[in-house]
Amino acid sequence: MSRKGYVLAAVAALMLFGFTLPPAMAYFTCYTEAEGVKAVHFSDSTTFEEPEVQDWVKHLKITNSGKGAVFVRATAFAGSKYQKALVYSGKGWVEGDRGYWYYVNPVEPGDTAEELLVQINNVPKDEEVQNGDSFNVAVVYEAVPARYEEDGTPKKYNDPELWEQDLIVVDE
Amino acid sequence: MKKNKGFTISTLILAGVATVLLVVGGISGARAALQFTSRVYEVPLAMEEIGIGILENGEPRDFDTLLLDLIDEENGEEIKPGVAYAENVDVTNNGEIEEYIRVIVYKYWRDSATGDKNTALDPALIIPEDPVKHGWIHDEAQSTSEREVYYYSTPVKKDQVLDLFDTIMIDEDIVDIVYQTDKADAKGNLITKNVYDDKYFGIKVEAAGVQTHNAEDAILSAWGAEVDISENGTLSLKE
Repeated sequence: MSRKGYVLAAVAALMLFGFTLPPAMAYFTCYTEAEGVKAVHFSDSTTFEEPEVQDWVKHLKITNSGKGAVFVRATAFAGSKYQKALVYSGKGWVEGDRGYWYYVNPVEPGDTAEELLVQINNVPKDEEVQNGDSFNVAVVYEAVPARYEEDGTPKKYNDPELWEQDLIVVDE
Repeated sequence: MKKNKGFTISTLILAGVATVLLVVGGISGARAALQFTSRVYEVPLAMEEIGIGILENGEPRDFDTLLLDLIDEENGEEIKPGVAYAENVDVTNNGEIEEYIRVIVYKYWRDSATGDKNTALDPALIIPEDPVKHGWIHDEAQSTSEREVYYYSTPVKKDQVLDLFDTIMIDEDIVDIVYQTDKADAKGNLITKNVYDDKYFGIKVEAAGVQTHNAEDAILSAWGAEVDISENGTLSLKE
């Protein structure tokens, strides 16, 4: 057989294998996919109402105007002379560290915590009050986003993770 | 000098045989399509069909159907950071033959206003339960913070259901990630806002199956992954 013949036979054989190999390289495969999205809201704004003092009692109301639940705490300052005369009370409020009173349950969006009452005991008697004296009780309150255990139970109101966590500030 | 007379007889015969083989080999598909059989002699043959499905809380899912019932949004329920919500996602072999299964779990964030993916936000804050707990092998080399790749370590039988993950959670530290606005409060402090407020978190599950016959080659061909299959069929990633 001439050289040309060998070449032709080789090309034919290659083409033959070329046609028959691809089916052998195919494998059974299958594929599927599913996806979904869900919105999250973590704004934690609150509003604070402090109506006029009645009978030497302040009625403090904290409302969650954000979209995420918050924990709140508050304390009052009356100056060194009367600081010890302040008496706190309110359903759901308990005394914690550093003079703060904590609301034990997270305040859900749109909800208002039970009133915290700050009463001034040992009110100065008329004879002790001089004309021009003033008496001021300043209230400080704080709110932080609520945190939860994996099973959905809120973390404890005075958990340091709630109140001492540093913010991570990033570029917008 | 001998004159070249072109093809010899033997060359022409060989070329003819090769051409016949070529034509017969090439048109086999068309030839099969033209054959007829009598109904009397028809025999039902089960095709070796391979298949795979995704289940969410026991129900088949595809396209955009995950996470729809994660929380009771109609009654105002919101996603709470740190809570592991029940999200039972399984993968099942709904074909006719055994197969090896690979799953890729994608995690991402979308802007609520535009609906676009926001790649500046951290997908690692979206935490499905670790599938390794349910027997999956994590392919760290192929994984990123946006996509996690898992293989099931043994062949999956027809109708077998594999737990992929049972819960999904948003990292509780998400509440501390803020940016500063140009607005100030009454004390002059710049107001901060949460970076992830009003965003959508998303999850996508891609499941793929491949035949168990010649599995190492099949997996390399289909998924580009180099694996070892032991004698008892256990799959492991090549080092």
